[in-house]
Amino acid sequence: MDHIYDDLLKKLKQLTETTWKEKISGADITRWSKQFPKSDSAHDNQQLQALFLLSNFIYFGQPEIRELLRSLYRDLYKTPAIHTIRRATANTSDWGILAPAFLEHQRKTRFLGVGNPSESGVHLLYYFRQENSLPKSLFINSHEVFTRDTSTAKPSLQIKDDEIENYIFIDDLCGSGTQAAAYSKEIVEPLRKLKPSVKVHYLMLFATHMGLKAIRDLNRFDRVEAIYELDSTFKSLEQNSRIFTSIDTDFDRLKIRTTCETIGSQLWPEHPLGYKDGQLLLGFNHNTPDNALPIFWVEGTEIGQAWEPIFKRYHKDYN
Amino acid sequence: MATPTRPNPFSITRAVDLNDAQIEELWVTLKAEDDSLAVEFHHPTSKMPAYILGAKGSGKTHLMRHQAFELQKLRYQAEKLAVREGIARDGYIGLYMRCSGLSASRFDGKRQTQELWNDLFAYYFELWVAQQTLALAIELKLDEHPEVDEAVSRAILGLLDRTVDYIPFKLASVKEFFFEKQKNLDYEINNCLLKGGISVEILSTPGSLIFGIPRILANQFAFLKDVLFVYAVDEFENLTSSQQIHINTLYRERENPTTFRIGARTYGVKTYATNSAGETNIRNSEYIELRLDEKFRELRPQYALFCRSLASKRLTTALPSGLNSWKQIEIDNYLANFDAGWKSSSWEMIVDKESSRRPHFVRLQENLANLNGVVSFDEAFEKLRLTAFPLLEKLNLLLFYQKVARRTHPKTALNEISSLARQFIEDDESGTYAQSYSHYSRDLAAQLLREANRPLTYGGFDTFIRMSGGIPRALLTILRSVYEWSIFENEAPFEAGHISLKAQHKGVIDASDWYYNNMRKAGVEGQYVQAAIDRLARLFRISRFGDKPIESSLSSFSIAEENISPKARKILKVAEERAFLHRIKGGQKERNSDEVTAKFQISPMLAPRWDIPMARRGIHPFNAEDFNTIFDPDETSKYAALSTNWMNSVTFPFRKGTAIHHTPAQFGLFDD
Amino acid sequence: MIDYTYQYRSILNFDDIPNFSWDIFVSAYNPCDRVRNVFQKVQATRKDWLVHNEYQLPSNSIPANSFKSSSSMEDEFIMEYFETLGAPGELIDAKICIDVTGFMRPHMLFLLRLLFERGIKKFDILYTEPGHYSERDSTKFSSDDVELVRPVAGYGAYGNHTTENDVLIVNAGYEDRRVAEVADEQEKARKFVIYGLPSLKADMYQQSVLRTRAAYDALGDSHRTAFAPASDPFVTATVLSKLINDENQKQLISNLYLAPLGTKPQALGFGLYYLAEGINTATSIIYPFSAAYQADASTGMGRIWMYSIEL
Repeated sequence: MDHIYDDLLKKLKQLTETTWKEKISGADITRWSKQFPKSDSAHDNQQLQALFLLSNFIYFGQPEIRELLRSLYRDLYKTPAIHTIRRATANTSDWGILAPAFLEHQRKTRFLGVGNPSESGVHLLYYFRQENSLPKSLFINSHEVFTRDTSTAKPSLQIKDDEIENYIFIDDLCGSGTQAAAYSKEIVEPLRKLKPSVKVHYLMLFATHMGLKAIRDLNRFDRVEAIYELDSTFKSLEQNSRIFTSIDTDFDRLKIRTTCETIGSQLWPEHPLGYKDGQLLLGFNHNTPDNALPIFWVEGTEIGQAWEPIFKRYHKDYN
Repeated sequence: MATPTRPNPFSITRAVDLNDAQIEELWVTLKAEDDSLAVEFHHPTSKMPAYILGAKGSGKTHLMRHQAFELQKLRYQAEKLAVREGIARDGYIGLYMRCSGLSASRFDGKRQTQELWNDLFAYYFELWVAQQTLALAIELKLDEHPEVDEAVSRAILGLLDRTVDYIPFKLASVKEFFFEKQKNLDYEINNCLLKGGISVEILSTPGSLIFGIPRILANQFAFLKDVLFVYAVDEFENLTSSQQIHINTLYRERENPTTFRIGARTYGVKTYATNSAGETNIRNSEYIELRLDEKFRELRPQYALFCRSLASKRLTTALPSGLNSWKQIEIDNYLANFDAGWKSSSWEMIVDKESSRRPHFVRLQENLANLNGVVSFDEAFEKLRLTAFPLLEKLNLLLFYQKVARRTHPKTALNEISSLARQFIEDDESGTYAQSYSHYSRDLAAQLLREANRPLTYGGFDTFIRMSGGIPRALLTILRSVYEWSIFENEAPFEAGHISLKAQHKGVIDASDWYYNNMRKAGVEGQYVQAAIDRLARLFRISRFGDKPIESSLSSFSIAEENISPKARKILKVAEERAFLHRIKGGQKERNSDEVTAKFQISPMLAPRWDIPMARRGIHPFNAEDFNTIFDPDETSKYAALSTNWMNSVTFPFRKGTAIHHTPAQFGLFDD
Repeated sequence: MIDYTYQYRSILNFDDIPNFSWDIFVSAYNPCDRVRNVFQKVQATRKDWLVHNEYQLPSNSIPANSFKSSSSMEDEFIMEYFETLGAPGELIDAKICIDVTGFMRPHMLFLLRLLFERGIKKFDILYTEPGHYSERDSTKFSSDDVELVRPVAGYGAYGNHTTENDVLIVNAGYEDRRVAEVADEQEKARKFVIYGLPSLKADMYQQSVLRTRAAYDALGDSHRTAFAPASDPFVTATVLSKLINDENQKQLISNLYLAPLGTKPQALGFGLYYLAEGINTATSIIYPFSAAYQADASTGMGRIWMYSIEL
């Protein structure tokens, strides 16, 4: 079993030297893994199991998230718009025509975050704007979509700027889709009634298969797209999990699942394996989503437990 | 959270990542006591062409660039000498160029004949070299006077097969002209299949520009009168056989004032043949050879000093600035080490307090049970144990096994050993016991550590020097890995405290893995080499950890090369070329025969992989049959039996006449 | 610098494939679903299988009437195939589609070069992402046994003997040994590594970074990084164009070496860049060649991309 431990340690060391650089150190890993019970039997060694899970944790640091935001703008917004313009202009490949037409299109676009201004989705907008060198005028809050016309007896809802043709919602992770559904209902439905020609899109960095489907089924948005779609193989402790393949027969999925459930039920009794059973091994530099396994992110002191996270989460408050 | 870390001071850089000033700094340190060597290292004024061969990372490129004009210039500046004076004084001018720029593999196929490709390559090489010579001339401002510029330019153009008089007679224009011709040649070669043919006019005969331009310059300029033009052609391994033959021909037929230095990886020279009436160039007749890492392995004290300076430089200067900005550091002060001596108190933490529970006595008990009560365990235990000195305890057991194998009566053996050991401890290290100790202490220490499940690294900078086997880049790799692991272990390497043995061990293992995977030849032969060394090393490991090792500190072997199979010979050759094995100088005639044997050591960089020694002492002689079993990929079916034989020879009760066919000549081996 | 993103790309539904029809469709045979299923589904007047010798496929598994050649060089191989298609004049207006999923990169690139040279500058390319790589970090994509690093045929450069500012740009994927061989070959060059980000799947980026770390020794610790999407040749070409342009502004590059060792679409992007900006310069595309390659390391089918190339 020794070489398994050595191999894991080597991989973890390499992670601390590359994508986890300046986020996680060898000391952090030791401190976190020591919280798991150790045993002499290799098969039941929970510390080893924890290290195995950790070695499969996908972390996107700041340079990576910024690049994904660049990709979101360029690949999910700009390029489709350019192509639409091309098709409408006899397929010209002349940037002298395409560029100004796109700028015009962009002038009539507004970007919004999903959720409360202090939450990570909105926080993301700042980096999105920075990375893509976009003017502030393109960014609005949800309350700026409408205005109230108080000139009539009964004040009515009006679109604040009728020139805007495209509204783009931006989010980092869509897990179950419930949050996005809730936030968007109050905006998108009245928007469409007031301006039937409007285009409303929902673009994300990450989305689970389930979440994407839930939002698409609402038939509320023109385009619902994510850079990364996380299918069911990303549920790390389920049967077709992508981390339990032929190489790693040393690790028993069910045993590891039990370890996570046991500790997870102390950390987040309602969702011991992550929000709505997310079971994700995923984190970003600005936060760790709560769909990820709680053993990684729960801050014990907040719940009166002695537990130190390794990829700490700054928790949303659903009150 | 992790705090931003300092960059690794040993990050991998090669000659090519260092700028010229940094290379100079490195070479200032390498002073050989042997003056003639110093001369070869610093000033190539010999007209004899030379090959400079080295393993990957041996410093070959460093040396060649050190001898090249860019660095000559820097040295003259530092001495406040005018460049021309400096050149005249040193008597040579080096032009460094790399074969990789030629893209040599494209001179092939594409529905053209081999003859055409040979001609095109020769022409391309002329243009290539000519441009660089002219660039040098321009840098030396040889064109500063228009009349001289014109005369020289005319003379150079006159070397061509055809009159060229439509370009200005200036060196810069001539150089540009050659560049255009070369680019045109590139275009034709790269696109000939697409275009359906090649149309090129070859303007010069091989050698005409290469030898002609230096001659013209030497005739024209006084300071160049007695100066040797040294074409330093590096990365020779990139050329095909026929292309190497062309270069071989050039240096064989070289004309004053030109000569060649050819840099290649140890495996890179494919042929010494030439196009000169079928002649082959002969060593010490047409060329000399300098094998860099081999030299470093011989010049141990100098190499060690070089390594310490190299490491010190890295540590004291993040970005080396001036030539005097570093200082020698006592690197050992930062490294934990393990004292493996018999008096060392470190053993207390390693072995069981109770001698009877130590694995070697447990084994003795099992072994004696098979001796039909000739001697009881309690008796043996009383005579052999030395609880305070576990290493000597081990030696006692080894001597016991040796004597028993020689048919000495066990009780006699016990008494002899007990008394010798006492004498050794009291008289401080004298007698035959002392000799045995000096031979076997390292192996026995390894056994103790292994039995206690401890890593077999003693740590310390000398270990790293020895491990690097004469290859500076290997040393850097070790240091880099050790540093990384130290950081991961939350230590403060070279800032505060010691780098732990654990971090050193992990770093050593990583570096060994790198060497195993990256030094080998690509392709199936590389895999054969790995497999052969693996088989060899596992035998050595069996011996090292046996009750009675066959040899002390076994990492080397000897073999009469002419007797082994062709395939085994090939794999042996590749293993040596790729620095998996190092040839030990001085093949000898065997005592009782006329065979000349060659001796080899497994690279110390690989030793940790199998826990075999880095040091070299015992040399095991193989017969041809056993050697083929190990090295010939077609003969490996007998390996299991060979391995069992070895196991039996070193394991109580040491069944005789099995593994060792050859009469051994080393101390500690046993005649049957 | 050129922005290539005006060129069309789209994701196809498997069942929509028959909605397109081409005159000539060519694919390189691989015994995996994502290659075979697409070939079945495509509608074309002429559909050709190419068989790469290097995959060493058993002869009874190869479809009948496949194109085979004994040539070991990518230019000979593709030239021979191309000559079976008829005279170049006949092809100028043909609607051509190439499924690059199973192609070896050098052959794919040379085909592009050849089409370009013969004036066929508009054609479609299909690429189907793998469903899943079964062995993650340790996926062995091809024989690690690199025999020779050399320019891909048709992507050579003129040599610049001043080598002060040589640059090597490697597009890294999972093949660290190949990356190391290429980097070793160009020891002196300054090195850039382009990673596939966004990667094809969420875990692949981190895996490719880990794999590439094994080649750090050859890359040198001071190499610089850049990103381009693993599935987009046009952005890849644009990223390349910008990177090179920026470097040239700081100091003219003496010799530029490009090594597309990432995904097929990214290699395509490298080819697009060369054909638009690299011909007749000191730029070459180099590749680590082996004698044998593993045919396919994946299972299942991911997204199906169609790229409408405009050279």
